[in-house]
Amino acid sequence: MKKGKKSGKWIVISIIILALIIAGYFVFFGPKPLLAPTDVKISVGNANPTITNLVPPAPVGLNAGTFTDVTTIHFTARDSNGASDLNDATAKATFTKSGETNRVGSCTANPPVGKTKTYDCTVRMEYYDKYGTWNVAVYVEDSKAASATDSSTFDVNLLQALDVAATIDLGTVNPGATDTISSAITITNLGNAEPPTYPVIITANDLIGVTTPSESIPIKIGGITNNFLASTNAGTACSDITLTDATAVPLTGVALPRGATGNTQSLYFCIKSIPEISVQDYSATWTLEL
Amino acid sequence: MDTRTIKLSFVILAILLVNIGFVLSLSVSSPYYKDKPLEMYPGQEREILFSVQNCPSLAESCNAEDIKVVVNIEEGSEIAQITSGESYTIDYGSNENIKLKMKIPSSIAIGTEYSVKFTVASVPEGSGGVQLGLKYNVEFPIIIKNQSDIPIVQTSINTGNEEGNNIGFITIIILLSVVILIIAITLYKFVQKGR
Repeated sequence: MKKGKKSGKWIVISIIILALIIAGYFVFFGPKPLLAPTDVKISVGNANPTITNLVPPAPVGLNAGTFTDVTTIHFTARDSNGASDLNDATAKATFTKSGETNRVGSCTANPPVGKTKTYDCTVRMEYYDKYGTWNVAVYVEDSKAASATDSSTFDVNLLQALDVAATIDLGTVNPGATDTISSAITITNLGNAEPPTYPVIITANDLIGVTTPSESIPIKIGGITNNFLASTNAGTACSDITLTDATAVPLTGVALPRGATGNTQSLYFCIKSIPEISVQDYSATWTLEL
Repeated sequence: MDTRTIKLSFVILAILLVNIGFVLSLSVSSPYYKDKPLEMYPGQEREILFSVQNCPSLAESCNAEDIKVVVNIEEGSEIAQITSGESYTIDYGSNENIKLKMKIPSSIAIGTEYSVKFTVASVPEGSGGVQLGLKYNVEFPIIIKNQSDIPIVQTSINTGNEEGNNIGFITIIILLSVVILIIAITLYKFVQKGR
């Protein structure tokens, strides 16, 4: 019985050793040995860049009659293949608003940090770009032309800006003259506010004698209740818009659209009747409003 | 025409002939306007800026002189106050800020609407003839809302910071490795002592 037990034990040990030898053969020397040296090939594909942070501009205040460079646009791009895989030349920022010309600007890269780069962009806006909410989109490509984009919004301020002659030239005036028409004054809209939302208004006053203030060239004279008139056309200057003493009068028909062209308007003034007045200086201050 | 009439005509002619070519170029930039109300909450105080410019384009047609400007509140003085003064001298080619301090009463009802209006007007410098001044009407509504309904002005939009997350992950791995190494060394020494 003891002998049988012993022989059984040896049989189990022999089987285990045999199993290990067989397994060892397949692991080390078999047709496809598990631990044999082999070439491992892994293809790493191009990873698309991503934009991880976008700082849109603070509200933009435009400069009257000239451009404004908006420099407060920053974005951070990341490429898993490394920051050097980002193509800096393709980085750009674009401002858009429905009905407006797109404004596109370039960006410069800061030194990379890990796999990211932060870009500082400059976009040039014009004085006539519409006020309100604009969209800003940033864009960059990597060396394989895979791209990343992101967008946000920002505000453009209202810009009320007129360019106008500081004096009105009434030319040669004789006492008793009628229908004296001024030279044209040119009004230019150098902002983004425009009529009719922002109408052009004029307030006229009597021309007062400097030495003898009791004498004047008044708005109301004799039978003429409206002695001063205005028009965008010299031919109708004495019959178009009647001005009222010290009262704001809208200059209807004055088109001053915002834009690089067509944003000017000529304006003529008429004095219906010059009274018989003394020899002295006559002056007044009129105000043009927007 | 007698001598008196000729003299009168000449004098009035001399008076009303004015120099032309002098152009006034004044402008105002406003962050709030008719279509863009300012939203505030009861008890809130804040300052807003309006920029007044004198020919920033430096165009040759502009009068290369300072412009004197007067600012007047015409509406909304119960909540708005000009803190930067009523008179300004704007240098040629530069700009000045008008500071408007807004203060909403704490007891005001939600939904109340105010209107603030002020004017920015040039002060004519010349004399004689008809001087033309420029005036701008700056007007904007103020809507009172709950504080929670007023968005915080966000200057940075974060769409995720992947690089930051990776750095955090790597840091945790390194820390864990160090801890495991310390435990292993301690155990090894303990076993060595036991022998």
